[in-house]
Amino acid sequence: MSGVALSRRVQAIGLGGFKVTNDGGEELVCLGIGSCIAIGIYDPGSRVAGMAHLVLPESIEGRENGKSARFVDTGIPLLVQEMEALGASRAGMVVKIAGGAHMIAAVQMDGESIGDRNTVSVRQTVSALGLTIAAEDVGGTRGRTVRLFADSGLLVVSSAGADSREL
Amino acid sequence: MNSAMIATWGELVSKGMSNAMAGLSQMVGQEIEITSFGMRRIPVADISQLVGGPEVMSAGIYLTISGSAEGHLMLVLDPQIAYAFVDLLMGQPPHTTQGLTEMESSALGEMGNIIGSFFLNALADETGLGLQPSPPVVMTDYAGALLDIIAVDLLVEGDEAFVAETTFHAADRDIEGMFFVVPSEGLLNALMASASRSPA
Repeated sequence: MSGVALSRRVQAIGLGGFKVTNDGGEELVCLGIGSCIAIGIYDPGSRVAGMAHLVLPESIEGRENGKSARFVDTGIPLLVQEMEALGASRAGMVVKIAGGAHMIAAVQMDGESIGDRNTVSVRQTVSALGLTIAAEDVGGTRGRTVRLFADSGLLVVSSAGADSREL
Repeated sequence: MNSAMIATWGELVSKGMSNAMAGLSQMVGQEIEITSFGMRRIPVADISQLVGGPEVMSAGIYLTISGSAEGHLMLVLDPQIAYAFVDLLMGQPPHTTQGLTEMESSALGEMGNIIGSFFLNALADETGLGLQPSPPVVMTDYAGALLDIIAVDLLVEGDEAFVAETTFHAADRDIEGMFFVVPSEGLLNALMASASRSPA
């Protein structure tokens, strides 16, 4: 990543958190995610970027707690809406996702893992919003750190003991 | 949870951990003493902060619980502490282990078996519940990724977690470290219900 601004402001997003920005100097990051999914959305026209750290596939009645992105089916619409409020155009949004690992290999054998269910729910929710997933790095058994560069929409995924991937 | 319930839970975990350490001491043939014990109530979103942050490499020993109550337990260790335990378990000189291949993971799994069954036996004695541990799964990864396994379950029920921290010390080689017991909500509720029924 040579030649980029030296003083990027890193904004870490915790479990169930989200962030939107039109400040190209920011880097939004979900650190050490397992079965969770990091979704990064960028609208090149308005230069608005947004990221959410999604934890569970479906919202649970009575567990909605203010503005939270912990549930995939309510978190992604919230993220898109907040980006639109900052001037993003839905038609221009480029969506990328990473995460949804099966942290316990044994769980794969008796049914769908929570990581898989998250991935399925993300696909459905993104599609229902009229958006498409441009790039993804999902599944597997390793944790990931996912960074979204707010000036370009570049999503960089790294895992322990592996080279990072650019989406 | 009200403060009486937190105290009850703390007492149960403390008894469970004492029994687990007694079991571990027997297994390795030397005293492993508990140097401190504490309970923390923290937002689920922050549990990885207890081990230094979501991106810190950690060893996790995870087991599920079945029987009268379902739930799961996770022990999270600094990898260096995990390696020190492997040396202790395998009767090797300190600093022999530098990573976790199948053999080392299996040794940690054995440790998980001992800790899990001794811990649950103590809880069962206190509450009358029949609790059986599954074979443990040993993983090394980012702390956040390991703790997602637990966080997913906790966040279904609430925003906070009750985490028990136990620090320990093995005399002959100065292994110090911390175990975290992160109960699922289901297990916690079952234990609370049984503890309140049993004649103190």
